[in-house]
Amino acid sequence: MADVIFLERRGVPAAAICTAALRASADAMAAIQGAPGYRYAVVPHPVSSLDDEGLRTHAKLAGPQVLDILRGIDTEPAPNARGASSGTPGTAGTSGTGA
Amino acid sequence: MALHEADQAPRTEGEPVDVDPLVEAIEYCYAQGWTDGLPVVPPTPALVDRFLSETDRDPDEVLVHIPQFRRSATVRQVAVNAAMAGCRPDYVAVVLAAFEAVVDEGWPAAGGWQSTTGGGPMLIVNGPARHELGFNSRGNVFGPGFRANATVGRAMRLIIMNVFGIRPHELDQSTQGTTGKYSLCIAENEEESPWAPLHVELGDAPSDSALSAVHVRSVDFVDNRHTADPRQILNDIGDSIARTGTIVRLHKRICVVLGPEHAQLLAGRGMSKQDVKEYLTECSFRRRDDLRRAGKDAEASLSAHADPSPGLTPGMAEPSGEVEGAEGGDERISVLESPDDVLVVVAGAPNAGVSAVAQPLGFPPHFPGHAVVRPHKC
Repeated sequence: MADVIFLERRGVPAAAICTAALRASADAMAAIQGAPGYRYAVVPHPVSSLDDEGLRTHAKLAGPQVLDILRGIDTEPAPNARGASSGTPGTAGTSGTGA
Repeated sequence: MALHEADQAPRTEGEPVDVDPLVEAIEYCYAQGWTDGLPVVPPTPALVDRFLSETDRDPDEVLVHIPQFRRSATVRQVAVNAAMAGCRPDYVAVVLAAFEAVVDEGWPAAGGWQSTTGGGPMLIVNGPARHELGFNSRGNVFGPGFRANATVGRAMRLIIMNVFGIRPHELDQSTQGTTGKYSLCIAENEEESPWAPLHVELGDAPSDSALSAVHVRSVDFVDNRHTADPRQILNDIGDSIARTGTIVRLHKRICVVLGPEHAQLLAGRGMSKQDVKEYLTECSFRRRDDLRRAGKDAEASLSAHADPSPGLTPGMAEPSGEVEGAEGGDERISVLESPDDVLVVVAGAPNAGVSAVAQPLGFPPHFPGHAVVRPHKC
């Protein structure tokens, strides 16, 4: 999360993807970086043990969220992403990417 | 009660203690979120000053800055947390060296403190400070009963939580954590070791006091009082090193804490410490079938992110079922790549054939992290 915010602050469009199980840490890190409510894509947990088909499903969930973040479109995350972000727009403060 | 009030009204010896303000101060620390769950010693300004008076270092000296946390640790902050952990003021130089060793290892900047893997720093104390400050290097070396071990180890956790804000359910993403995260600090039993102590192996003078740090996920016992054959003892230790549950990537590092009885037996058969490291590198393996049975054959094939072997399915895909008899099942898969990835320390009592295997996390820049204790000049 910190890396993505650092990238944005350097003017590089960026979007983070996080599993639902790690949202608390992601939100805490965003707050530390001065970007509370920072928006990121959320996919169900876990990822590491998925087979190819599972990874494809996750990628399909993440893709539209990432595009919306990069385009600055404020939408709800994919319904399949359990515990997903409320979609609160957040920015790292400088890039204007809407992410 | 504000903490500074605890410094007022000095008590004369023999005068009864009014416990209420003390308990209030302890509860105040809980309310601030400053504890690891156990009570801390309230860090009154006067107490912190006593710690700072035991070092020549500038209280505002920055020991490390970690950009992702936007936080720095100063000498004063280390002293405050050492006080809270229950250290004596004269421990401060050792606590500073311990923290420097933890930072030197490289995990703090690389996110190791936040990892789901849930480990924490294991400290190893060498040199005269062991006796000067009362560190235990003998019986129950991983257990309770010794203030220096318990509180210096605990100070690391309080620094991580309080200075850097890495707390459970927030930045600390540990899935389960480990009991060693409360405190994990041992001293090497140099007197009953047949070999040069760790700090001398790392280039320090024997008269130096030094701290070494390894971020570990677990410490497991190896009980072998069954044989006097050095190879059998090391094979037994190698089996614990290569336990499938601990295999995350193809190779790992390992910290072996030999009990003096094992160490002396090995040395008595002519083995140097380097010989032990080399033999452990050879004997720490699993058969490919063992890895297949645990769904970890991909780790042994290429890397942690390798595709599984044909016919095998990883993780949450379909259950892999019986794999014995598959091609190459008897192949040895070594988990250690080099003797340089083996740390050997001697600690404990020479009263049984018991040793321990500490499982470190990954491959940080330094193994171990290390720092020499700076003597107080005054």
